Amino acid sequence: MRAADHLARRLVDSAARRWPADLRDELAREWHGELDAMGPSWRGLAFAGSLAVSPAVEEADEEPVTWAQRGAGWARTLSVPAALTLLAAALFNAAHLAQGRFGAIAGALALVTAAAVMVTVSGRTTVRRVVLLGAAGYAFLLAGNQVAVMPFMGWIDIGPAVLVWTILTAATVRVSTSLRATGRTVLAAGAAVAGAVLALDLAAAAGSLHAAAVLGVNAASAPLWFPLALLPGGIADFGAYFADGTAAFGSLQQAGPAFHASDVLLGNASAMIGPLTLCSVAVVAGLLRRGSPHRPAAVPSQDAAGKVALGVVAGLGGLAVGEVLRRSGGAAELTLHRLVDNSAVFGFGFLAHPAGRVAVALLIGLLVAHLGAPARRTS
Amino acid sequence: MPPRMTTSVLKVVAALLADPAAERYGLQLMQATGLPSGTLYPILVRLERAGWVESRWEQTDPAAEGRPTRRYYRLTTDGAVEARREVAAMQQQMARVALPGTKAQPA
Repeated sequence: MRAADHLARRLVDSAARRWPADLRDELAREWHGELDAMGPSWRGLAFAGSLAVSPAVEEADEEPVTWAQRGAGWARTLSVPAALTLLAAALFNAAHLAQGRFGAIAGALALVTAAAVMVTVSGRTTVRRVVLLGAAGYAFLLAGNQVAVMPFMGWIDIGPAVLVWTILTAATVRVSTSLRATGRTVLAAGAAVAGAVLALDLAAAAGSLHAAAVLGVNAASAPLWFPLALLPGGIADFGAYFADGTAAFGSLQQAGPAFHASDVLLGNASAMIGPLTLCSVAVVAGLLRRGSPHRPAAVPSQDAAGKVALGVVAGLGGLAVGEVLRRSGGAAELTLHRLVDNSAVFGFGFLAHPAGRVAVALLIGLLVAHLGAPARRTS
Repeated sequence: MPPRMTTSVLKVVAALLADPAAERYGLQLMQATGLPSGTLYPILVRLERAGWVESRWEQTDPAAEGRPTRRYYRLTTDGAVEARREVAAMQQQMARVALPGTKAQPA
């Protein structure tokens, strides 16, 4: 109960900090008094938990926020990271498609273009956005592999990768923001880039350790897995050699060309780390942009009918893109070839289901419609 | 600005109207209304801003009482009048909604 009481008091303090400045001290005193009266108990924890998760009261000169407005705000908050994740995955797939069909140079150019797109669409970078990006990334990778074409894309692979990426990237954002606040902008930029690369490197390693154990690949090479996962296959081969080209790892049971264990490991790591890499580009771009003058919104504000029309058009566009991505995924029997040359297209397994395609179209439509509405400033 | 009347606000107002002169602290109001703390306290703040409710800290010695001092809430005179009016209006509305569906009892 002592731990519950401690947690309840932390929650109450945290809740009070969100309330208007003229109220928070007195309310914190009142709530601590109520906790004292209740004594250490689950009731006290429920009391504090309710305050912690409930919206704070508005400032005295503001209109109360309705639940509809609140819902719209949450939809906007959640749809941006979800859409960034989808965009990152789609762009990384496009780069892999270009590499598979037109060669390594075309793939590299496509990857640079994808990074440029992510820089363009990157918004304000905050720790909360990084956490939401991590959650969206985990959901995307897990749902994307629902129609399993990758041998090592279960929660035991994706979970550690996304967790490490989220924690280290969030820490990077915190450190870089603190440095910039003290006027050390060059150091802040350096910390942003270095932290993002470190986060990706360790995330690729964390997400591939299970695969390495199954494939018998020495984990000493783990720091190289991230850069190699971004390169075409065959640049560096290590691990066991499968001369007969017969693979039986997890869901991957097929015959193909002769390959090294590293081909499967790196191709699989690429599936996880590719979208996260482009998300990191957006995160770093947002951090670097903080010092630059405010940019006007890309899409001008429109009337309600215009927003709906824009959202419907964008949603239909999303359906079309989903259909293209679904068809470009190819059959599972091609996966081994694509793993070996690291050009596999992956992660959109949920598009195989109509509900998945509708959900993606709805998300894109909502996001585009929201972009037409100015965000309500709460700070 | 008068508070926006919702079901939760009506519950709080009705609880305070049960004895307009009585002072109640947060936990008592939670028990009386069944509302969680995260719903109750924003309502109390809005009612206080609207001038319907006033609050005060009790003047006791926590050491002597063996408990921390409490913050008490009660309706103001104007607040009680406004609250009665809103509750009555809501009861009338509910009666109008209920009447078309009620069947006349045979004599």
